[in-house]
Amino acid sequence: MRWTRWILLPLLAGALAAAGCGRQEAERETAGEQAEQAAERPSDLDAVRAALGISDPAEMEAALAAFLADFPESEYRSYALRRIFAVKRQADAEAALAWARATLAAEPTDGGKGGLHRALFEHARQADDREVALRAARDFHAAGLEAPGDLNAVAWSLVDAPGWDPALGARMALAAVDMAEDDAEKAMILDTAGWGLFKQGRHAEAARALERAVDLSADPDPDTCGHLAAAYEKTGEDEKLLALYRKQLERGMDTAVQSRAETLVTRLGGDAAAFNEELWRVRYARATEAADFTLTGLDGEAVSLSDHTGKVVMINFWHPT
Amino acid sequence: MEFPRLVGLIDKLAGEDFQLLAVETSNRAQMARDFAEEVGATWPILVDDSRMSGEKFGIRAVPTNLFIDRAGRIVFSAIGYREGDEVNYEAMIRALLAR
Repeated sequence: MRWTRWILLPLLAGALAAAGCGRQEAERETAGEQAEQAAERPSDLDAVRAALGISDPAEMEAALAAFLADFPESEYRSYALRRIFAVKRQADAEAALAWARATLAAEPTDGGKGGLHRALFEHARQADDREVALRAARDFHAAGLEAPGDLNAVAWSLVDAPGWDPALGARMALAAVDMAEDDAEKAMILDTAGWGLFKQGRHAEAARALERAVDLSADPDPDTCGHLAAAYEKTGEDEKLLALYRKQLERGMDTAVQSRAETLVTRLGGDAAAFNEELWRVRYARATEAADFTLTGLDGEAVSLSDHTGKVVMINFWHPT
Repeated sequence: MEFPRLVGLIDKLAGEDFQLLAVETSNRAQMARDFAEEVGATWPILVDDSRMSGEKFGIRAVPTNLFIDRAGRIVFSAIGYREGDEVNYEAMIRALLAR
């Protein structure tokens, strides 16, 4: 799950991306949500955003430390602590590690503790110190913290990178599933758990976890669908596999999925052309009329969707990072 | 990054009955202008200053791409960008052009 692996907080997304953390390909942020939340934006978010916008590392660190002192219960403590660790690490890795351990002992929130555990794990992993990284992950798991995002991030590293510990990753993810704050986060955690089970050869259990993930969303993540397809191939659940391909292809075309689906249809004695016609029937039954709009372009010219009636139109919603 | 890849897509679809519209959702015109110049975007880049993306199209994440047929129906949507997705964008556009 490449682009949704990290849920970025709606308002932090831009600042975090600018600060070099988190995914830049996609951000859970929309103009509407942004404007809506701006009106009632909590002050801890203002403070952490302002701090992350500072380019001088020492000044940013000081601002983040002030944020931590001012907001002892903020949900953004994990971000702030990880950022401080990253700044300290640049200067002196040993001192940064000592700071992280001492801060972990004193940190009042599960979320903040989770961020520090994750920082310690990632530091060791990046240094390729496998033993220390695995010990950090086990400590994190054993701490039983309510920190689903950071637990999932560490679990995914254990599951995804070859030669790490998919069993531990799956256990960590399964423990975090019910901590998820919304269905999107729950689906990501289940994907981690399912893929960890798959990598252990526990294909049927993997299929069940991944089914739960796919069923949580009307528009499931393509990577999760790919994981579930791989599990179905192992369990031999052909009808379910075909239904999964159909669900994906009804929403969008994916040339790789299309070719696998056609091969499967043929193998099951069906007719690929009829399968494709049925897909188009469902696509048009699901299709909704695009609402017209008028917006001003960067060149100052007003453009309406209706200016292009009769053409095929692709609307690319984006923002610069 | 997805946005620079759209340059290649546009080149491939030159001369087709097709229009790409970019909607910048964060109302940051100057950043958008700088970025568009950097990648050499030739298509209209519209700045959403009225939360239109969320209200009319339910956009919850960027990038999101919608594919609209000649009759004005949203037939396909694609959320997020994965390496190589422009191949699928082209497939969807060509499929809609052919129908």
